[in-house]
Amino acid sequence: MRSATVLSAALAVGLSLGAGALQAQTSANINATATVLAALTVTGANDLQFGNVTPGVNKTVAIADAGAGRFDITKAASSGVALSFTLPANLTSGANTLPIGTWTGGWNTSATPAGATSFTPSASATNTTVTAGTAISVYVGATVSPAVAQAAGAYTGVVTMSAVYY
Amino acid sequence: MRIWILVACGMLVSPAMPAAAQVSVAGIRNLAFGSVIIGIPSTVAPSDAIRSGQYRFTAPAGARVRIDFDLPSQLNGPASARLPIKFGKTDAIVVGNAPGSVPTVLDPNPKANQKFDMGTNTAANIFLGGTVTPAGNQAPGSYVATIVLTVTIQ
Amino acid sequence: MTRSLVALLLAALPAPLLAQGVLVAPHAIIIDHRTRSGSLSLYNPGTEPSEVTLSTFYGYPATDSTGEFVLRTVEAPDSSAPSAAGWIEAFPKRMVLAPKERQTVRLLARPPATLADGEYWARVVVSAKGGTVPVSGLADSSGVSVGLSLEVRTVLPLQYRKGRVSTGVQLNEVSATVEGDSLALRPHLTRIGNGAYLGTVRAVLRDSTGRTLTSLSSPLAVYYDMTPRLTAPLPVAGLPAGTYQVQIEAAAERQDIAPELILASPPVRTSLAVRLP
Repeated sequence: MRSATVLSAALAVGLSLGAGALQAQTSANINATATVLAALTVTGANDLQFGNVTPGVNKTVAIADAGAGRFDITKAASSGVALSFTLPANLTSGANTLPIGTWTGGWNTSATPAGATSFTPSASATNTTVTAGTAISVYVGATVSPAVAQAAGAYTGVVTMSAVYY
Repeated sequence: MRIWILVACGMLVSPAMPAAAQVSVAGIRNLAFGSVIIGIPSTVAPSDAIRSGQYRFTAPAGARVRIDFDLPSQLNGPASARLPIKFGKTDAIVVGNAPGSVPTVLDPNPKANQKFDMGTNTAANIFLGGTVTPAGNQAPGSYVATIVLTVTIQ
Repeated sequence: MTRSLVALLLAALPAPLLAQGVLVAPHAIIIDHRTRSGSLSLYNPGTEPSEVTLSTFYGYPATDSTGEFVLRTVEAPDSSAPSAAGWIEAFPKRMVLAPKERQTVRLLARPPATLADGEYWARVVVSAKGGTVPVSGLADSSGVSVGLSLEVRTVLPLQYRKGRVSTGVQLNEVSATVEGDSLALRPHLTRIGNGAYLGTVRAVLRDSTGRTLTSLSSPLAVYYDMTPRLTAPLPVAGLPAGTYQVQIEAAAERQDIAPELILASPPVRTSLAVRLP
């Protein structure tokens, strides 16, 4: 009996060895690849609003006022962005002009003008450089100077902020 | 002596497995997300003809195979940076080589216990998609990880 | 009548339009002469369509006499200037991006056949503006319409590299002064090689025991000589009068640019003693 068991086992071993190179399972690899790009986002968030303006009376909007213009920048934390402005000297309504000037500016890493670092934007595109943080808010104010005999009309202009990456 | 003779006899009488009983797998194309932007998730569908990952496997007609992926949870980038990657339940498709084969959606995730009946197919392609989610402070650069497909005849 | 009408019209200016912007990636473009092409991804994160235009010009960062960053622009660079602006073109140049829409812009180069090995520069400008909002609700028979337009411009560096390009920087003549509550450093940097130096400058102020009192880190882009003004805050409690050590290093590495795009260059270091009053 014992001999039969041993002999059966030997035969089974032979059968299993004879199964040879059967591949019931196999594997292969591929890669997942990606290239991450840093990004820069610049958005004009709030218009510069003067509201009611009386001829002959200057009106100023400071950067902390509700009507201040605001741009928002999102950038990589370690990158540097220089802010450059192209500002009108006059708002226009047809052939009529309304002077605007005395621009003020401030930038902050929090979405509030309180504690903003001051700078002076101007029509000659002076710059300030921001390296800190990833989210920057830039506030802009100015003063309009309507003449006593300022002509009726709706006056408009364009404020351009350039974010120069270096 | 008798034992060894019996072992040899066993080897001689064991049926030679036909070549078609073998299964083979090859990686054909990487899952290539290309350029992705910090803070914006990017998805490649398995049906993407260019960017989806692709394997090809062969197995005997009529066999049932089990399909298992070893999926990364992140890609490795510069200075030990990690880019998270996820695979959805419909992020894999298998298509046999027989005429009129209909694509079958697979869940590539572990423990999904995905099976595929070869039927009249003798080979099939598996296409794999996924989604990467760059963080807001993700380091720019190239990221890579390995995806392993194992095909097992049941 | 005139005064009240002016006030009325200006008051009738519409509620602020959320002005438009665009996400641009990458923020530094490197083009290899072997492919003569690059790409930009644009994405409109806003809820309104954004009109986007692209253009190029020749310019490079420099510093003014006070050490502040300026972008030097040259409208008509001569043949000696390494300008790529005249032969790099974006496709498309103009588009309207719907909210949440992404667009790939191809940058194709057609350099002169005789272009020598080296690096050539341009600035890519991505301008975005939203729509014009007409005034509403104003009972005025003059037919005057009012619109506001806000424009944002993203100005990115582009470097075109052909053949062998190398870079490095010499760190000379560092001055250090105390300005109020800050330490101000003015390192004079001279670029060597034929490619712009993209890197990071770091500085540390230490006392006689080697303890770090303040430090700074700033991205660097040296195209020609420059003397940037770098500042680090001094401890609020102040520092006793005495002599301190400033160690400054420029390294060709940037956390915001993929490492494979940075031209390799060994770091340069120097140190100087600074006397605090």
